[in-house]
Amino acid sequence: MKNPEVIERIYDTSLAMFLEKGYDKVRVSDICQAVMITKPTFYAYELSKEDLLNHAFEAGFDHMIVQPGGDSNRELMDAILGEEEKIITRAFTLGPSLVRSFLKNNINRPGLSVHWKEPWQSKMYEMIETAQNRRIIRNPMPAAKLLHAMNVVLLGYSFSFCTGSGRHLTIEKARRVLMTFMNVDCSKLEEGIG
Amino acid sequence: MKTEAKRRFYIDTAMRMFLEKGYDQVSVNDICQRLRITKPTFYHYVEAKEMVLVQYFDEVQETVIDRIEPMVRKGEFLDALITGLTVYHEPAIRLGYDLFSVYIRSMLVEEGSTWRNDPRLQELMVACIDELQQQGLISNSADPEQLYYTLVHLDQGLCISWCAEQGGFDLAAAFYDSLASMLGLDETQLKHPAASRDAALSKQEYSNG
Repeated sequence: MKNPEVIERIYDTSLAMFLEKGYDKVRVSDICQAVMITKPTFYAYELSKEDLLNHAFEAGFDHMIVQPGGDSNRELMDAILGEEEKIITRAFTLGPSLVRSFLKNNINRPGLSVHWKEPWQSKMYEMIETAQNRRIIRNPMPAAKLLHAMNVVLLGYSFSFCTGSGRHLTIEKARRVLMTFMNVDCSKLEEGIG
Repeated sequence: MKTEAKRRFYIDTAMRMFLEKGYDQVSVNDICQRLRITKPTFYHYVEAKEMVLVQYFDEVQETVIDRIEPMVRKGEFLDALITGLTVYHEPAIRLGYDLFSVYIRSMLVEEGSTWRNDPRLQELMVACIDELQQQGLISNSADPEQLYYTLVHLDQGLCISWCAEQGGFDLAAAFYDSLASMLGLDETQLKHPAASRDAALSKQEYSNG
């Protein structure tokens, strides 16, 4: 029987070990020892080392609830950008070395740049469409395509972050990249309901 | 053969073997056997197997400036911009997503090499964006450098997505669509809108050396 508490312990412990020693230096047997389970038990949970790292990057995005604080243009954009920033914040928190391992592991895995689930996704579409109707976002792509493209841009940003040029990158710069991509009309941010 | 000619010949031969048999199926031994050279000779020119791809793509980047400059002189700023931004699309499509993935993976090491680090190229691209803004073709009024920086990340992300989706979408078309929407490109003003879309794909011919 799979014990959810054990799974959580495996996730937490392995992430702590990856962060401390680096992904490549941690073996499954080290994780088992730290969690005090046997290797057959570990594999009975149908997990691999790759799964553990993927979980660190991808978990939690399926139950985000986005709600603009109010109805002003600025609050709407803050809500959209705030959600997108969570992706890049995760990369910054886990650090360049783990981002590299994550990308190396997943370079041929379809859906790499998409990890949105319902109802979160529909809420994002709705907010993007509202911002487009108010002419705050001037990029005319349909909301679904725009959201996907922004996640692709963030994937590219994560790549820069974990390779040679990444040291000077910040979350603030990522925000500016997204605003540039959406072609945000900054003068509209000071107005109320458009 | 001169040193540089030798190096190119080794790289081209190795690339052809990767294309024929797949990267993992070709060892440095196999390459040396085909070239009739010893391993130390090979390693004198190419530090490691994955460096074959790195050197190959470095060369692609070095030659792009020569292709762009004439476009800029003729006032084809959008073609120049797209060609400069999509340097890797043509080789990626020709080599296939699996070989391209090996190249991307080779950059994912500590102190790894970086994509697009030529400051001359960047300067030229920013100047093209500036020009297109002044002509009213690009309506996004963000700073040209910021626009370039954003487009670079869009392209990087798309190239990685393309590998992840195992080549399952049209890389050049996807890039053009996103670029046009982001820049607010006035396509009615373009003399040859279709030409720009294909600029990156049509203007580079690979010689087998």
